[in-house]
Amino acid sequence: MTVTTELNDVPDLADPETFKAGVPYEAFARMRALPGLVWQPADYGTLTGGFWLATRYDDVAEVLQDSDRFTSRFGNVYPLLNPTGDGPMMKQINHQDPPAHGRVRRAAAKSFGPRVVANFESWIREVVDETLDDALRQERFDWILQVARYIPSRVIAQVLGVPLDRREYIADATIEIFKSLSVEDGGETFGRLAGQVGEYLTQLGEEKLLNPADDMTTVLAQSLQNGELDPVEFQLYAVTLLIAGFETSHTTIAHIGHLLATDPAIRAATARALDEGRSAELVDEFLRYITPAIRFARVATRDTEIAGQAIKKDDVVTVVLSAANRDPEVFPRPDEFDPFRESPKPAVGTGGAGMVFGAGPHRCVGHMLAKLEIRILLEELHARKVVLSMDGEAERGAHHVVNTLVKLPVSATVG
Amino acid sequence: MSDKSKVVFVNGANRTEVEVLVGTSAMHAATDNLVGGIIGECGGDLSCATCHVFVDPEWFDRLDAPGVDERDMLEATSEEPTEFSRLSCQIPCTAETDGIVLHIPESQ
Ligand code: HEM
Ligand code: FES
Repeated sequence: MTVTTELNDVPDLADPETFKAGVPYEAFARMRALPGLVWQPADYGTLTGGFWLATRYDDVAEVLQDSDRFTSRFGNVYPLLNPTGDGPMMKQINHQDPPAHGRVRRAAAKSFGPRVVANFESWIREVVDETLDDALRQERFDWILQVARYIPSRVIAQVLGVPLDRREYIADATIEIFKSLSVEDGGETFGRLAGQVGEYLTQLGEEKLLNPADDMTTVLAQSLQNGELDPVEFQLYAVTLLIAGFETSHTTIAHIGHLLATDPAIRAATARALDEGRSAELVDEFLRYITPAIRFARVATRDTEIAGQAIKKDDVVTVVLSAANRDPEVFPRPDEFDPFRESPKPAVGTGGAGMVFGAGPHRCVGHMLAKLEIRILLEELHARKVVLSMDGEAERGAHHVVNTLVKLPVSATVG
Repeated sequence: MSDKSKVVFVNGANRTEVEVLVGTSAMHAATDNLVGGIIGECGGDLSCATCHVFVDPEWFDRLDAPGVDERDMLEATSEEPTEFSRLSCQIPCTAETDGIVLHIPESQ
């Protein structure tokens, strides 16, 4: 029998508007303290009328690491983007299970390892410098528009080899695609918008085959040419790199600006960490504290159990990364920002630094790139002695997945 | 014949010997026994390169040669691969590998 935990006064976690007010950490903490998992009814976007919420670190890891029991095939976010299991989105890397997943993932992963990404440092620093030069020319500006959007869109465009004059288009298009994740139409809008950018990237791939360059679109186009990827897989993988590489990094940078502008303790801890050369720990702590991607989803392939909770075949289990990253079992004093905390409990398969990038076969392919961008930004802000303060109200967006900030008016002083 | 096979993991000065059922991958031999330095993020899907090992030269030739996909993914390891590099999720523990010695890269 399925035991459903009833909770009073918990906001509706099937409604993206809930997240506009902020990440409901307090509700997640109450869920985490209860036995079993909590069930959220939903009249849309699942296969069985609702979804489970996994909020403990270990439960999240268990679900993500076991793609036999918990498939990505119907979608990896709530609401499910491929609810029939065989829609056009089934060839997107996010929605594939091993072994097809490994074949597709390798096409880019093989040229995205730590030794390759480390070589990006000097040109990413140029991108960051250029962005800060431009933004800091004004005393007051919108941090989202001038900084958070610019750095990741330029970085991912360069990684993919998108020419300069198409970079704005790429940034605008990815923001629209991410918004569509909250549209309740079974992935239709998402598919249409992703398809448009996909067409562009397919064209770019054809050009790259004629003029190969040292970029990811060339690598993927070559995999298409030699049959490792089919045309749909190629297109969706390129689009995924683009939107995944943009949106979450953009959200992280947005929140970093907000935290630095509003929280003196975080500002002080940041300066100290950078002075002491602990930038890696600082980046990890910002990522944990912010957790830019709030939650993902999997579907049970059979009747099973998590944390003693009976789960039925076809039930959606959402894994709440924002909650896992505030699990006091793993991060004591979880609501405190502390880059000097003892290293988190190393859980097998999570890279040891929190649940920001997921776990298991789908763990973020771009995590090293993301961390590098953020580290360089923090270092450059520190070197320039930039002090941010608010110049109006920050504004959040309504989104199921992304911890999104849409507006951040700041004023900046330098030196 | 025994249905167990032994694997020796060497991590700097640390040496850990584990015994696993024949057919287990060397990656799982490590992660199931909490041997540090082998992460095995993707669970053997051959898509993460966090299970990199240097096979002891004495043992290297006794293994089947790595496939194309494995050679591709060796490009994505944290530590520079050598001629003795393998991804341990692609090494099945068998009667032939009983006692195999695998060195764990420092930076992994
Ligand atoms: C702070 C920034 C980032 C965060 C928080 C983040 C988070 C994540 C998470 C949690 C997943 C796993 C989703 C799942 O399990 O279903 C994922 C997958 C992925 N990410 Fe990231 N990501 C970031 C940056 C990037 C960047 C910069 C890139 C590309 C350059 C990227 C590319 C991808 C791709 C392609 C996948 C799909 C991998 C797969 O399904 O095998 N991400 N990301
Ligand atoms: S465990 Fe991921 S490649 Fe071996």
